[in-house]
Amino acid sequence: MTLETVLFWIFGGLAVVAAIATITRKNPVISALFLILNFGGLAGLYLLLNAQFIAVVQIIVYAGAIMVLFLFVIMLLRPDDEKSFFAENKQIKWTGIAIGTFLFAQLAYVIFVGVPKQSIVRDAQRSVEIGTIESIGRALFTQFLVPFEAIAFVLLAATIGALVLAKKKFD
Amino acid sequence: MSLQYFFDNIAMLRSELVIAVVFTAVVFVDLLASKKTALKLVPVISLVGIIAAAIYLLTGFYQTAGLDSVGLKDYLTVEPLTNYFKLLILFGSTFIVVFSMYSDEIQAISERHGEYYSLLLATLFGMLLMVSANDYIVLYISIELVSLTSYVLAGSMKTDPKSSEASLKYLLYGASASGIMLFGISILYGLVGSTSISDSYTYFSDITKFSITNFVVMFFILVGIGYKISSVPFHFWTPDVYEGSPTVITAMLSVTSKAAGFMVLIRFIVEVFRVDVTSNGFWTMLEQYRWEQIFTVLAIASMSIGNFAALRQKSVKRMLAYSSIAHIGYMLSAMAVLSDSGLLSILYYFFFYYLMNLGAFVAVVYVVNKTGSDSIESFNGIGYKMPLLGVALTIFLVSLTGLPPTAGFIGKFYIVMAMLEAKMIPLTIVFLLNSVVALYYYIRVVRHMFLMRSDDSKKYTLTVPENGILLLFSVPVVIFGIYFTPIVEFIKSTLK
Amino acid sequence: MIENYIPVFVVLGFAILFALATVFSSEIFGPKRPTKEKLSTYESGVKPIGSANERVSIKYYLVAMLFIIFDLEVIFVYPWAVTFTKLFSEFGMVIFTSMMVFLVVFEIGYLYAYKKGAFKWD
Repeated sequence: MTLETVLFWIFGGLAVVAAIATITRKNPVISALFLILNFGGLAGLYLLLNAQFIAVVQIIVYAGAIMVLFLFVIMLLRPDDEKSFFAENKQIKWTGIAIGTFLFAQLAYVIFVGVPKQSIVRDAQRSVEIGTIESIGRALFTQFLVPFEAIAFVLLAATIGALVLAKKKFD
Repeated sequence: MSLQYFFDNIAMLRSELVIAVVFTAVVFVDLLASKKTALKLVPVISLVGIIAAAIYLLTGFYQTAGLDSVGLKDYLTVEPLTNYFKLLILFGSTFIVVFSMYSDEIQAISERHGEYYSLLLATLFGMLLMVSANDYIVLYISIELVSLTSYVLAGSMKTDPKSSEASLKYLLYGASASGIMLFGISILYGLVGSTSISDSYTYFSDITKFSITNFVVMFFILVGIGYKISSVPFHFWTPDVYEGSPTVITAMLSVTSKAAGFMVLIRFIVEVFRVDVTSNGFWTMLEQYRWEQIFTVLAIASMSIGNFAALRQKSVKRMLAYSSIAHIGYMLSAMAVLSDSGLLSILYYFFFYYLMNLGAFVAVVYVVNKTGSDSIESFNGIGYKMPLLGVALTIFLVSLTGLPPTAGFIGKFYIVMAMLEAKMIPLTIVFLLNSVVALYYYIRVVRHMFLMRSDDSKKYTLTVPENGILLLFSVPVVIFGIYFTPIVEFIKSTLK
Repeated sequence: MIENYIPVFVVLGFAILFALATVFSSEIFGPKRPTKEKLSTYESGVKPIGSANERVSIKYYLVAMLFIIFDLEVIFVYPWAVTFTKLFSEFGMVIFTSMMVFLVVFEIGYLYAYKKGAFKWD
């Protein structure tokens, strides 16, 4: 086994175990913490796929910022209400299981039975170049300059919007 | 490669640049000026900025030169057609700002005026970008900008639970729709290797690469666009959001953001699936993707569900929500023709739809201001209490039905002509039957205004500018119903 | 390719080891003499009332939301910083100004949040 295979099994196993733990814990806060672990495993898998930038973003944005928001939102809600909601609506659980099984079967089919139409070797080669921060920076600041500046406005609008929704009193 | 083209071409985005500057200016004024001056200054700056953007847009309306070289052509298209849509959106936004200044719902949240107007401008910026987008990344960013700000604007009456409900429902629906669209885009990027909308034509036209995946991608992207224009079966958010939002925002959602969404639909179809235009104006499409059938189904569903659901509504805002779904159905049936005359009839229809729908909404804004409710009962006797409003609203509703001598009739006339030209008889019959159904619920409002007695004998009066706005919409609706040649000629010139 | 990351993994391994060691060493080596009083929940000397999972204020949400937004800003600065020297020699000032425009628009948002009292805990 090469180093990459070993790392794949480590990160993949970590992601799977953490994902299962996420959906089986009773306490939503613990679920959220396992989700962070899952994101960490995914970041490792991205790294193995040569998507370095995505791996870093996964850690900084998802495992860092978004999970903080997740935790706060969980604490904003009343977990007891959720419990009674799920106790009343049993069919939700079965719908979830059905959708999950379908999705799993679909993925398993694609991976084990499906045959890629064209050779993907060339694209794999290209993906090594694309994943680096240099190439993303180059694309972002030359080809996609206008969308990049537009993002500044999206984020400005998001700042204002968040304040409008969450701030009770305005100075 | 040089980035010089960037500066050469960025000036082509005339209205976007102005609106971006005005947006930041409004935020600044709100921050720096004192509370009182900001309250007065912010709407005026927004209004002047939007008008300035429209005028600046008009100075280069027919400009397309220079864009075929490298540059913005890659991901932004500027041509008379997009400029026409931008003009429509700026026109609509001007009046949305004006309506906001006269709406009691918006005046009640005066401590958040700076935020309200800056978000309105951010939405406008997003819509203008959306109209020009010729790249899936630009498209997605602009749709997100429009959606994000719309969620907040829909919930801007924070003390009203219905407004918060509208915001949350809109958010949940919008997030899943744009998520599905992004998924489709990412699959398409994997297939094509480029995010440009024009580039995906090469992929879709390749008969050897025809597969079920292409339909999945097509459908996923259609979900995102369909949600923006609220066509059936992606319309479920519309009634609740329209009912709960402040009436001005409902007007915005039903006119300006639909125009932007429709332009995206036109771009997607024309760039990706149109092979050629024959000499008599019909489009040769990629046959295997069956857009004619898809549009026919969507159009019939939107028209019928919109109209039949509108029949039973008690809230006038909700009724207008369903009627706007029906109007999107009318425009989609013109889209099903897939010809230049079909596209032109959509452009005409949008202009007339703007006039009559904005007019109808401003009348509803006034009634809500006075009676505090938008239920159909609160319209009882309005025709005698506010005669001008009664007459104007009647004109708008007659026009929305599509009866002569109003602008709405001309719009529908052109759509029917385009359909007959393509010999689409069954669709035309459904279209006409739906117009008859629509007559019932529009006229019901008129009946309540003139034939029903209200319980109280309160007298309502409108101020002079309020009456002026009503006239500004109702007079053109009648005039364009009789003399429409200049508008038709102008719109035709954008398609050259 | 992946071999370049071995130092990162080594650091990661040490971090995990250190975290586990600090948590579990006290568990293993510390003396444990539990009594009933020690095991009960401590709430200012009063008997505990209600659930510990009370709802927190919406203010936390605002802080987290602003954190995400500024986190995203930083994400866009990384590729810029990495490619700056190369792109600057190629394209000149555009690269610099484009980032400055982005940051200025962004800092307006920051100024806005500051002026409107988003960071005040009132």
